[in-house]
Amino acid sequence: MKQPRMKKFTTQPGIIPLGICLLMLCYFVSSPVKAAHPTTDVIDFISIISEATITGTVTDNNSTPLIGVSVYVKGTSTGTVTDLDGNYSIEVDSDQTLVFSYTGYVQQEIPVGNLTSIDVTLAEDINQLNEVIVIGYGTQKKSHLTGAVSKVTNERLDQIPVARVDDALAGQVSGINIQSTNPAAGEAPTIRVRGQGSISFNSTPLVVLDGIVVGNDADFLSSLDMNDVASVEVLKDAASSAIYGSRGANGIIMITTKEGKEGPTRFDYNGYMGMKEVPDNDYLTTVDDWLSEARSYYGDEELPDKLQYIERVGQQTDWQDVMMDGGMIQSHALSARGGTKNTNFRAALSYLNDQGVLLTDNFSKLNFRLNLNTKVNNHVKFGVNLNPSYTKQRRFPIGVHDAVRQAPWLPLYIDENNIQYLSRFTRGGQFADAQVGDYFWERMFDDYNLDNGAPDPDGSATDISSTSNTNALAKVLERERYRYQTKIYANAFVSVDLADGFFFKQTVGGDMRFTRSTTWLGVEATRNGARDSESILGTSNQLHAVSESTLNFNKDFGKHEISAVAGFAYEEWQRDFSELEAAGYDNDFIQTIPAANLVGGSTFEAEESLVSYLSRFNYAFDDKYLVSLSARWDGSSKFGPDNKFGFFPAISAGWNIGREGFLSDNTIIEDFKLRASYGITGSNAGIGEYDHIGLLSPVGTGFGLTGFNPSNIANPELRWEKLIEFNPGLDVSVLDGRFGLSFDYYIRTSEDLLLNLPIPSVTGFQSALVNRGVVENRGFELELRSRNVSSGNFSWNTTALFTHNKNTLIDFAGASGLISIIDSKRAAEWIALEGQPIASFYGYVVKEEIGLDFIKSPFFPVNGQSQDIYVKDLNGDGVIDTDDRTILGSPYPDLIWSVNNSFRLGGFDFSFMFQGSHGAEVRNISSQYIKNEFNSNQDYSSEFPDGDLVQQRIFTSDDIQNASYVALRNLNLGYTIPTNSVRGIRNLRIYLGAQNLLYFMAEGYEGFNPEGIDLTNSAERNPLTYGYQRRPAPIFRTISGGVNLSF
Amino acid sequence: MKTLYILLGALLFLTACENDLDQFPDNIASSNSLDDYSGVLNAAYYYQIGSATPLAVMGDFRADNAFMFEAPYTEFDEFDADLTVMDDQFFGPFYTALYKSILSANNVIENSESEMEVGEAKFLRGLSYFKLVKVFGDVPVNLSATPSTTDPSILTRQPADQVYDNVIIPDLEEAITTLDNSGLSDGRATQIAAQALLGKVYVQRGDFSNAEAPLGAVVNGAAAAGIMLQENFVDIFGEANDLNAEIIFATQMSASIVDEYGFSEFWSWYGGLDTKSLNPLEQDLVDAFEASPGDLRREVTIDTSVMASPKFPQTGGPDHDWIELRLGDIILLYAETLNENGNTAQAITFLNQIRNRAGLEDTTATSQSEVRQAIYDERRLELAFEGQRWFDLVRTNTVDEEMGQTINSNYYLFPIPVSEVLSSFGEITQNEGY
Repeated sequence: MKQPRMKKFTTQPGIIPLGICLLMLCYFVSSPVKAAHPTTDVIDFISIISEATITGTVTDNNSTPLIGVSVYVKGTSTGTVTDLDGNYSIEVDSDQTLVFSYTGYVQQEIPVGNLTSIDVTLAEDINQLNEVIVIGYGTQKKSHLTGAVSKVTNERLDQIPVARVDDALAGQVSGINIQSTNPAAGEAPTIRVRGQGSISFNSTPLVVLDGIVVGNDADFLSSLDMNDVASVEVLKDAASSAIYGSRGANGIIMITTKEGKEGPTRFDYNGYMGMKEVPDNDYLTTVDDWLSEARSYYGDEELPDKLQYIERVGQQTDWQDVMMDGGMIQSHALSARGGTKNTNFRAALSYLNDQGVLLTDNFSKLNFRLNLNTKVNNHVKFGVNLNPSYTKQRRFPIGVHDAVRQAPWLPLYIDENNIQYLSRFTRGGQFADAQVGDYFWERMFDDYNLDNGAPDPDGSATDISSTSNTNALAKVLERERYRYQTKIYANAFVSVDLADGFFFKQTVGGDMRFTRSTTWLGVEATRNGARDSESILGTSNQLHAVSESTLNFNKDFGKHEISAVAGFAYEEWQRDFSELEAAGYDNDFIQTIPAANLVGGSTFEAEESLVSYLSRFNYAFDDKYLVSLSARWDGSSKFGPDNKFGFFPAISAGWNIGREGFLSDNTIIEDFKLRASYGITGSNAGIGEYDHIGLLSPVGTGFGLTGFNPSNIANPELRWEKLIEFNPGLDVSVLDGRFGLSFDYYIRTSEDLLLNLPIPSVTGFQSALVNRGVVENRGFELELRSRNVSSGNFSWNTTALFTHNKNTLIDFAGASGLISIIDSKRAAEWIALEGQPIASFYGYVVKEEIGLDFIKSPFFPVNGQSQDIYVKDLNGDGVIDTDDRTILGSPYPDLIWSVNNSFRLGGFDFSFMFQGSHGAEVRNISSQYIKNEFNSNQDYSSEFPDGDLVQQRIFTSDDIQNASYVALRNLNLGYTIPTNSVRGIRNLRIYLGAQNLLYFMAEGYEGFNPEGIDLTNSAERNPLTYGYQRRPAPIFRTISGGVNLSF
Repeated sequence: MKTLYILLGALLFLTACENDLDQFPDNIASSNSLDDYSGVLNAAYYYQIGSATPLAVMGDFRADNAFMFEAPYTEFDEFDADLTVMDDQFFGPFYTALYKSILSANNVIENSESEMEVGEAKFLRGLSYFKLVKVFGDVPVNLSATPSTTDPSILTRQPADQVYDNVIIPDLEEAITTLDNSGLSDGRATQIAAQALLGKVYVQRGDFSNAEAPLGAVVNGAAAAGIMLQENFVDIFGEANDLNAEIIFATQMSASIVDEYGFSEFWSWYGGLDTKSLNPLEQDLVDAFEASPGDLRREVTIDTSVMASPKFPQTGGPDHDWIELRLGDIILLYAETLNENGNTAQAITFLNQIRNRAGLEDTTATSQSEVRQAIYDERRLELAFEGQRWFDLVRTNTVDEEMGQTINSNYYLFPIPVSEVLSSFGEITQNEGY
């Protein structure tokens, strides 16, 4: 076998040399063009029309000066822009009208008359129909948009006290569900655009950062700083995302970062600090409450020995307090921006630390960014974005269910007082050497003689342990799991004006990610002690390089507006991974990996490439009739020889009825646009680089020889997952844009789904990757925007978003009814049945509880609950058998919504957002652990007559719980301090922020996080078994305070 | 015009790129590039490792030698449908590992040009199916190196008798004719191992008339092959004694092999090192040794101070080989066979070989039925904590008598892994009672 090696980048027929060639080519091309076209197309802003000079200041509602507002004389090409302090000066005739125009704000027109000074306050345009939207490989006027694209501008998003960009986006965009499936520090939420399409793999949208695709995962969003983000666009329908072809099927999140602006250098600081805590929850009981319940059950009878013993121990440990100890989050971001007429820059440095609410979780991030743009001459522009970042994450090492399930009578440590219960004889003297300061294990309390008041050497007295495990605190504190990531994002472009309306753009860029993970299990981390101690060191690297060349054409011919792009892209990934594992440490003093203890290691390396041809043609006639056509061919190395290429076309059209003559006199409707789109996109996410090839994997044998065996079944037929979507929609705005509405209806059908089909292992394999099945997501999105009040110094705006999605498995090619499980020890079932969502919880319907009299020991252990429960005989045949199972719910919400209100009064601003989700269920299996259902004391007794009428709770509707919630997701109250008097300070604002100040969980949900879903292992990540909950971190509340300062 | 140049340049670039779509891993070979099957044969050996610990647990913890302490492992001591909870830990890995071994063996049998390799592969395939049939009864049969993943015909469980007649016995007979004994010192399959296994297979089926020849061949040919009883019982076991003279075939284990199943190994279950059962030794086995005073095997096999078995000590842990066939076992099987075939006198001499090595006097049993019982009792003491007991109880139909309870015969077999039933849409049926 060949030695593993990393390919040298320069030996590739690669990107960089060719990119350079192309750059040179562009340069040669640009020179003659320059000669042919003198600089007539540059508007001369300084033309003089009359003698009257008007001056003034343009500010926003916050009295913050607006820089770069274009101020021009209506009907002429005379104009200027405001300077850094929002001031302008322009010479006009008194009978003329000045127009103040600024992207994202309502345009104002003011007749000059006799005025010499005009100060203007521009209101934000919440409908933003004239704003420019970033779409793939270009931009488009929102009024010309024919697909379903939502835009969020970063106004206050960087003040939401969360560590990740995606967390801040929750509730901001319709059609996208951002769910806190495991809100530990630094962990990614789960993001779905318009439902789950794939049945095997994650459906995370594609993330595109400043035009460069950074991946089908949320990984990059952990290191990006929200302070650097200018706007986020979400391309939702297939017609919009088809320009990303093979990777567009799950929607696109396009992030645009802030750029420099002409003017003297301006510094901005945004910093906040917040406290995080988990709201109290009565899921865990206290010893006192438990014993008083037990007493009322036993009445005059004496409590059972075990309970007497627990009472005597007298300890009350609140495991929620221990494990969910709260935390602090702080963020500091400093940026500078400025530039000359030809060159501008923005540089930023930020630091964030999020302690997380769990005992040891912690996340910190250091981020640097430089955006630089320069005009080489009137035809050539050049720019670079550079963004190195570093993150360090300490992860909570065990599941939350495991951390809080320990008995509340158990002390954390042995002390002088409780050592009297320590049984040194029990279990062959396992704890003979325990001493004060050690972790207290439940087992150490066993064999206690209640009469003597001492541990019993015979080992036959009262036991109260319900686990042989070490103290949960040891499981957390004695394990260290770190993840360090260094990422470098870089891209450079050159854009060359070629001829009338044509320009060529060449971009070379990519991202590199270096990840190091370490795990340390100390000698006290598990019940097995030193035998289980281990150290694992994993490193993984990914180099992703992109070259994109596009030829663009934008031109207006009278009423005809054409915008077109054609180009190609080449992308390449190199990935490698290696891991070292050492076990059997005697102590915690040295945790490095010595050769002597090395027990395992693994390496992996892979390459992937993608070749794409893309084109789009947008046409608008008179701003009324809009058509867009796009097509992309993608070739991926992941597929078999005959299926490498996929074709992804799209068409969309729109009609701006509001601009038709028959509506022009109408004073109510300002804009009315009908649009419809149809497109095909694809997905190759989730599958491995070489899955179409049958590979050999090595296995060791005791002869000291290596064996090898096929590791997968070759499937040369493997091809793209395909998504076809039809999306009609409309955009309406009435009463001068006071009220706006956007509505989208969509039917998206996913076909040829890549499925890791479980196959009987008589074949020698356990699964095979195939293309199979059809899934449909159908739904609507409604966005309502209202400028309720907008007067002088008071304004009130409301935005409401509603998203409905219904997921249906249409065709499973003979596999309909496939039942899947995650854990055969707790074999709760999911079913994939045609006509139902791809994942439906399956099982029995609860009828009633078993009477406590039939439970062996109803009040032991503390927080105990019977394993079994009566279920309904659904088919009425008098027997409880597998025919009585039914669909119990689905993990997908029917409706998610958010309502955002923002107010301004003088220097004060206030905004809050309620957000909710309804109709989803979750399989909350944590009671199995926390309520000790598996404990034999919770079995029914031998006198129980109905043993064949009950089922284990984990198989029933008892664990299927309503995952709906309503949250006061964000709240922000700010005050802008008048700073006119303070020299050097442009703006100073202080604010209070809060997250999840209110959080309402549905009745029937028992736990810490209705949004929580386990996605740790591949069985849990399998969409066919989605919606399993036991480990996730809790929902928490944050209250923060911050400062914005510009100088 | 210049635009055209750019586009032309671009097209050139693209053509170059398209070649890059044929990515192939740098350091992994594809399965259709094989021309040497010795590595695949090694894999067939390797996958036997996955069956060792499950066999240990099924053989001794299901029986009266050892017991589990913690739920749900305690299901091994209860005879009802709930044993399926142990799928992930035992039955699933066991089942999967053996079919992987079978697939590798099929690959060698179909493609290798080396007779020796084919012989070894046949032995391993026979061994795999034997283990499957003992544990699950009827099982699906795959004899192809490239089984169709959609063909339901390989899914149907074949009656155990047919698996014996059509697969196990012919495979072992062929291995006997093909192999010699040169692989003994390496731990590879040999002629004598195939003979021993074939004899054991016949005994398992109660076919003593056919069992006598292969077992006799082993017992009589052992010395020539370098196989003999160890003088001291203790010298048979543990990493230090791996591949000792008594071992006919053992699955080679080594700490350097990453066990893909990750659960505790057989030696830690036996040794009471796993907290699911810190004191696994059943009093019933202690009593059995009490009834055999002076037995030198006692201190090797049980340790009543910790109520566990020291047979495979913690030191050397993951290096202990899993003994599949050893001469002591074969001699007892031969004795049993002779006795059943009416040759009780000769049976007694073989039984006494084993007793004498254990420091015991000759047996006092004389009649055929007395000798039968004496052999059963001897097997228990000789082979405790070697994964044999439960299968002996089932084979000799002495489950109820020895376990001291009435056990539904449904539970003589173990449950088919639930995942197999599900992934075959019920084509693979569950065993009755589960």
